[in-house]
Amino acid sequence: MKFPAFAYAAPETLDEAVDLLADDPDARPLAGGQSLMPIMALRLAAPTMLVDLDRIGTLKSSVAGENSLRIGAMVTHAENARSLDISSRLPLMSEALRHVAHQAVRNRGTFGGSLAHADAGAEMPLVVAALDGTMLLRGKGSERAVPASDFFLGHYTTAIEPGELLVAIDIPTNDLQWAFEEVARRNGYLALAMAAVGLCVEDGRCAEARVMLGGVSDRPVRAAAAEAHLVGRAVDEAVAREAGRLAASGLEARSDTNADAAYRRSLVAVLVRRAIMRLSKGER
Amino acid sequence: MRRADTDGALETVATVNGQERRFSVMPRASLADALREQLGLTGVKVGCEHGICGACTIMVDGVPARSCLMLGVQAHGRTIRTVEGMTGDAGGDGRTLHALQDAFHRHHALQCGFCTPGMLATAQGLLDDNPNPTREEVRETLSGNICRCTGYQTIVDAVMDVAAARRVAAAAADAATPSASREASTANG
Repeated sequence: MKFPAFAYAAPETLDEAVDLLADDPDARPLAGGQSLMPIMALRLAAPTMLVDLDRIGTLKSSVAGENSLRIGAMVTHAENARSLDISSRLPLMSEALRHVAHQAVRNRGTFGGSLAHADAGAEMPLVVAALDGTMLLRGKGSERAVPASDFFLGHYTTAIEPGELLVAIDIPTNDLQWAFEEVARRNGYLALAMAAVGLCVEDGRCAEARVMLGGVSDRPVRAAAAEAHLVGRAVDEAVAREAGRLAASGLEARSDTNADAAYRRSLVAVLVRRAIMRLSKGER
Repeated sequence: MRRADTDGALETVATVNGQERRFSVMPRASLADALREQLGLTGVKVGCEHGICGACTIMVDGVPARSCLMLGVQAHGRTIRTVEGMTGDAGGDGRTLHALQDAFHRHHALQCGFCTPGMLATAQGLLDDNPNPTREEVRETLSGNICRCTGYQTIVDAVMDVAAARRVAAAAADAATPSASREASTANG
C-alpha cells in the first residue's frame, strides 16, 4: 500500500532532531527506512512526522577505542560489513551481518535503526546482547547509556522513551572465539532461530562460555545452563550436544506462522551444537 | 532545514540518469512513485511496495536500493540511475543495450519483464562489488528479487555470462598493453 500521509523534516544537527521529536510525540525518527517504511506501507504505523536523520553527520561516524568500538547509529549494514575494525575486533558482528537481508537493504538499513526497531528475528540485537553492548540515548536535555540487557524489552519494544534518539552503540571487545548460526526460511529473511556462541578454551578445556539465543523468544536470551555445562569441560561432540539440549530445554519460544515453539526449540539445540563444534574444530 | 507539512510538497533536485532533474513531491510519495509519476520513468516497477519483491530496485549513489523504501524527497542531492539510464552507460547513444541487458536478452532471462529492471540493478551491484562471482553467489544475491516466470536459471546464466565476458575482455586488455617483460622475452627468444 501507499504510505499514510505524514509531515517530513530533515534536520542538519542532532539538537534540531531531538527538538522535533520532543515537539511531537507522534513524530518518529527515520534512519535507513528498511523497517519503518514497510510497517508504514502495511499501515501498522502511522507517524505524524518523519524526522529524517540522514543529514546528521555525527550519527554516521564510528570510533575505535582501545577496548571498545563506538558505532554511529546511522552507519549502514553495508558499511559495517566492510569495516576492518569490526571484522578484526568484533568478528561475531561481521559474521552475523552476512545474514542481514539482501544487499539493496544492507545499503540503506542502519545499525541503530535495526536495534531501535528490535524485531525479534533480527541479527543485530542478538549481536549487541551477546557482546554486552551499550546503547547511547539522547533526549532533549538528557543523555543516558542503557546496557543491552535492559534495552531489549520485547518484539518491537525497547527502552527508548518518547523523544529519545539512539545515537551510538558502544561495544567492548573481548577475547572469546565466536561463532554465529542461523536458520531462516530463505536467505536474507528474518531468523526463525539463531545462536551466538563465544568460547575461551585453555589447555583443551573451556574456561569461559557465552551462549546467546535470538529469534526464539521476543528478545535475545542467555542460555545460562548451556554456559555452565561448557565451563571446565573438554569440548567434544557429546558436550556440544548436551549444551544444545540444555539451551533448548525449558526455553519459552514464540510461535507464529513461520514456526511453532517446538520447532524453534529443536532449531536452538542444533544451532548451539553446530556453533560449539565449529569453534572446537577451529573453523571460522 | 528541508521540511514539509503533511499536505505540502518539497522541491527536490537529483541527478537522474545523468541529467539534473527538479520535481516537486509530497512527503508520503515513495521514490518509486515519484520517479514514475513525476519523471515518467515507468521502467521502475512497483510490486509489493514493502521491500520484499525487489522489482523497484534502482541504483542510488552507485549502489542498489529499494526505491519503494525511500521517499521521493530523499532523492534530493543524490545520483539515481534507473533501467532507462542503463543504455546510456553502455556507450552514449542510448540505443545500445548494456551488457547485462544484452545477456538477459540472449539467455531468455525474462518473460513478462516485470522483475527485470530490479534484477538488472541487483546484478549490476553484484558485479561492481564482485567481478568474479560463483554461481552460488549470484543465486544468493538475486534471492532478494522475485521472478515468477523464468525459474531463475536463465537469469543466473546471463549474469555469469557477463562476468565471464568481462574477464575475457580484461585479460585481452592486459595482453594488448605493451609490456617491457613481453618485449624482453621476445628479445631473449
